[in-house]
Amino acid sequence: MDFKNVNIEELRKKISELEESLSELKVQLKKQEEAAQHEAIDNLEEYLYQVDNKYENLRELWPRVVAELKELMSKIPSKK
Amino acid sequence: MIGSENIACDDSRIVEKVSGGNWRQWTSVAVLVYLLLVAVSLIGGGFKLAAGDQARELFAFATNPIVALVVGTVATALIQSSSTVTSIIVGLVAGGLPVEIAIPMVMGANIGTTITNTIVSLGHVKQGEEFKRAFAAATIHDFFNLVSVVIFLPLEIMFGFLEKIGVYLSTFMHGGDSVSMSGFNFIKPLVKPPVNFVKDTLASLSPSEMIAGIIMAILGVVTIFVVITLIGKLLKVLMVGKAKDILHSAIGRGPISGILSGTGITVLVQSSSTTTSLIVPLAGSGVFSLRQIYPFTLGSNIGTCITALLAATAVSGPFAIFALQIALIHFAYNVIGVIVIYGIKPLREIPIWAAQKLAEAATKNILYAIGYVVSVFFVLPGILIAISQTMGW
Repeated sequence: MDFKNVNIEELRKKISELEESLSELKVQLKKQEEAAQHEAIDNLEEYLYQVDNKYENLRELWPRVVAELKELMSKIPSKK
Repeated sequence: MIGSENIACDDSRIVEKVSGGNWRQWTSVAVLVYLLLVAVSLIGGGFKLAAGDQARELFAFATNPIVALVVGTVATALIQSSSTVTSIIVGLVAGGLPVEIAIPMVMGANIGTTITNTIVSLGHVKQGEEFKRAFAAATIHDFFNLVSVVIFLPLEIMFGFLEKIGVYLSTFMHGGDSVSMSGFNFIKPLVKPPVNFVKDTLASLSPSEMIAGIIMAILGVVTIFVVITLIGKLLKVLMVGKAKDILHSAIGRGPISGILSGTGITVLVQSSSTTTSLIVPLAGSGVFSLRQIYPFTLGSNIGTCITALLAATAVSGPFAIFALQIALIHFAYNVIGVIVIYGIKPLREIPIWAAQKLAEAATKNILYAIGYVVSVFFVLPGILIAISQTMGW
């Protein structure tokens, strides 16, 4: 949109409207974030489960570590 | 969601336990707390019996504060419970371990306990951005505690300010010339009989007082470990509802509320590892930002002090006042750490920056995460000890 031809009063009005919309969006965002946080807290038992089974959840870790180590070793030039 | 099938089973077990009578669980908690107090006294009594007047010499290796710091860090990292280690330290001080040696150990316990939430965060390793958020949420606690040690350990070595604070605070909690603590005298008569029974039994069976004392102290350590583990399991079930209420009430409020909530939850579940580990998946999901969970983790540092304070109420003898002092020092150190580091903006940002940088690196290459855990909790402590021994500090 070309604002060069918009007069000063209209520009001020547009900015004011935008700022008002931005404030409303921020309020709405905060409400939705807090609602999501309340919902997450209501499922606290699931997170407790993750804490109690922290070692079982590490099953995915070892293959990744091995893969990264192999990649690292492959980058080290041989002494030949 | 991970383990969702098991959640239904766990939920039904929880409901069964609740409907089966909370009084059974609360009675168990009360019995376990009593056993905790007995165990701390066993350590103190056993250590005194074994070491006699040689307590300072026995721990001469730890007069170097770096060594003491490392002992606290590694012991807590292995046991994964700062409550256990600080309770043991209280018992040892009651048995004659000098407070000035115990202070760096307590600082080390703060660092070592963060390994648990770091392990929890590694469970998110396959989830890209989720892992980055979770890992940052875990390591921000590590970095806070490291910054705290870097600031306060040198100050303590130079000025002994924490020891002075401990002495000052303890004057409010004990009466006059007696080392007994006013208001807590009812606990000691309850704890003494089983401690004396164990002491007399071991003394009659063992070839020497030293061996009897060592066995008594080991029994105390094992008992503390078992008791705190069981208390943690029970309280997690009993207090999950209250913990939710506290978290709900903290949403949308400022960092002070976050710190108080973290403190409250940790006191309820008697475990900073549980509180900080719960934060990890909450942050990993993206629902809570790193800056929002930061105050919770700080609150857990304060809340965990309650166990050592509880343990200190049960000890008796000429060193009981020092046991109380180390528990109060632990509390003061954590409160002051939060006020200073979180209160001063440039300092507050250091753990955030460090956690985010490390998490970014770890997301690209998991070896950074593994290297970090191994280095901070095991390799670096070993190097520090080697350097201090070589330099003759």
